[in-house]
Amino acid sequence: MNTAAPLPVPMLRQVRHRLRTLPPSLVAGATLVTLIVLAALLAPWLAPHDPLAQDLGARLLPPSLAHPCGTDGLGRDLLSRLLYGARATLGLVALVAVLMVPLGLAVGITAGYCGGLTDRVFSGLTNLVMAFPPLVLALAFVGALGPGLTNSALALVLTGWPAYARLARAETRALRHSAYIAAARMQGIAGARLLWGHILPACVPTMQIRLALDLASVILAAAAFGFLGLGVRPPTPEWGMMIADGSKVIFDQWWVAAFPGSAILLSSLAFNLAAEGLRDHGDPRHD
Amino acid sequence: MSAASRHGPWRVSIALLRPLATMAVTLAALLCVTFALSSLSPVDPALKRVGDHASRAAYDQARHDLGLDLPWPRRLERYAIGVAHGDLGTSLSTGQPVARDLRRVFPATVELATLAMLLATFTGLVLAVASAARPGGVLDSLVRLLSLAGNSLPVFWLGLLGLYLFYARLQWLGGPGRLSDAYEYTIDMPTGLVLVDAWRSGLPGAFGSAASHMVLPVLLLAGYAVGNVARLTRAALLAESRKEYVLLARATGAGEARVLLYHMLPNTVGVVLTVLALTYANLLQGAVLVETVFARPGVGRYLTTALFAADTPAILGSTLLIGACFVVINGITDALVHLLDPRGA
Repeated sequence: MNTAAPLPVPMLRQVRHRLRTLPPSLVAGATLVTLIVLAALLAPWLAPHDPLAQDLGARLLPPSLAHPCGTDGLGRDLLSRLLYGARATLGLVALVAVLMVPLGLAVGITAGYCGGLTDRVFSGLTNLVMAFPPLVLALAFVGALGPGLTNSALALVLTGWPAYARLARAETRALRHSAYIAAARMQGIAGARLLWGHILPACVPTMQIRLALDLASVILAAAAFGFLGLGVRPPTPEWGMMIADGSKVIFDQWWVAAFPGSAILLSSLAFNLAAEGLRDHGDPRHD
Repeated sequence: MSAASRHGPWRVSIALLRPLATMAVTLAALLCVTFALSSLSPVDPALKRVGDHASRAAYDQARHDLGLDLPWPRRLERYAIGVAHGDLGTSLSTGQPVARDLRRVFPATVELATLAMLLATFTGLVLAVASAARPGGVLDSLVRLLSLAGNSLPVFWLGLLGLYLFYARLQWLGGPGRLSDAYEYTIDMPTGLVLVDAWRSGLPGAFGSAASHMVLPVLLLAGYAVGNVARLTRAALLAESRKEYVLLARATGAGEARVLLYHMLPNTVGVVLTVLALTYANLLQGAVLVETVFARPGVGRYLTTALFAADTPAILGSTLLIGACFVVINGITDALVHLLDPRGA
């Protein structure tokens, strides 16, 4: 924070200025993410057909006005399935984010703040999990415990949290002996309130870049689960599973696999762009 | 630590001991994870073995033979001793010991990952040096784009599109599988490395067939790795370029190429080694999806086939193998980085 008192600037100009100074990749990424979220939420109104309605007379039709993305092997409208499929992907992404970040933060901040034996045990655990191959372990987890959305999310959370723990620990250790934490302590702030109100906010900037990057790879992992038949159960539309269906007819009806793949690419790209933008934007503490 | 102990054999053994100890602990933990997964699995291996219509006595006998009636510490002990003796259980779908299945398919995965690794290392390092020489140039943007694409494109989808374009439409390259059908069943596979075996078979066209089936998966895997190798090496080079010895080298009149290749590059060897090890470990992992899309026999395809069949011993056996490779590669690199660092371990 600057020490100089901020000059009064009209609200609207402030917002406009802020938007202009944001890196273009951040704006592009955020716009794409918003569009995908809207597509998932508004799927019932946007979809031209019922995503589950089969029409065996209209199997594997190429893209046309009636079916903008064509139809699949059971005559279902691909565009409708793509729109509804966004729900499965975003649902998994949200579930993973909500579970993985707090878990990593809790471990990392505790380790960094307590130090000593607690730190050794928690850091050891973090490094241990980081030494495993994440994708293969997640596959094994879902394979052994059964397919489905919850198990996929759990698998990704259990292999993904150490990165956050490591970041949070580093930030906490750097802050532990800083003047502003000492000042907070002198005011009688201690324990959970100190961790929550004074140390956690300092972890947010690095954390959000990491999260945006991770969500991009969560989308790819979710698609891989779907492709391997480990994700949500059919007939619920899911992009990875749609690619698996399309792979059977890839040599003759390319669009069945091409469109869901593009949807995955777009959503993963959206989060990657946002991450890159956040990184370029730099640490908000220094602006 | 005293100054004397930092030199000679002491330094070497300490540099080696710590990574080795970490590696042993990690491997033990990996074993516990696969054991826990097999215990938590809802698939009952005894029931899978005897079938749904077996008598109670036959079922109990199977449970006893598999050691499922023991308390869990005893089962873990049994499992660990089994793994140490190379026993990973019996596959529920092939009926063969998992260890024997894995030994058969492992060389193919190593072959694929190693070729991809060589290509990615060479291209990645050249790109890194060239883009570090001119920050903000065209190559810089290319590296950024490559790594953005590698982190956003689903590998199995790109593989499918590659097959559609280069095999079905253009017919430049071989399709799914590791060889054309004409050779697939006529060539012996003593080494399991398809390029080597096809070459040694002496059949005309066999090597060409193997190579043309290999191009697309290797390019795909290497393409995913090259962005990261280039970006991380470039970052390490740029970090070096701000140090004083670079300024000194320039002041003595060394040319830019000499500063970059003789002064800066050797100092990034630790970073580069770590990046390469991580890349190789990730390639072994990435081979899972690539082998599945291209229907190439290997550990990855073995694992995904087992996933489809809910074949728990095969799933956990392959996980253990890939996980152990991952851990060992990283452990060896750690030791190497310590050994090569002139500042001492």
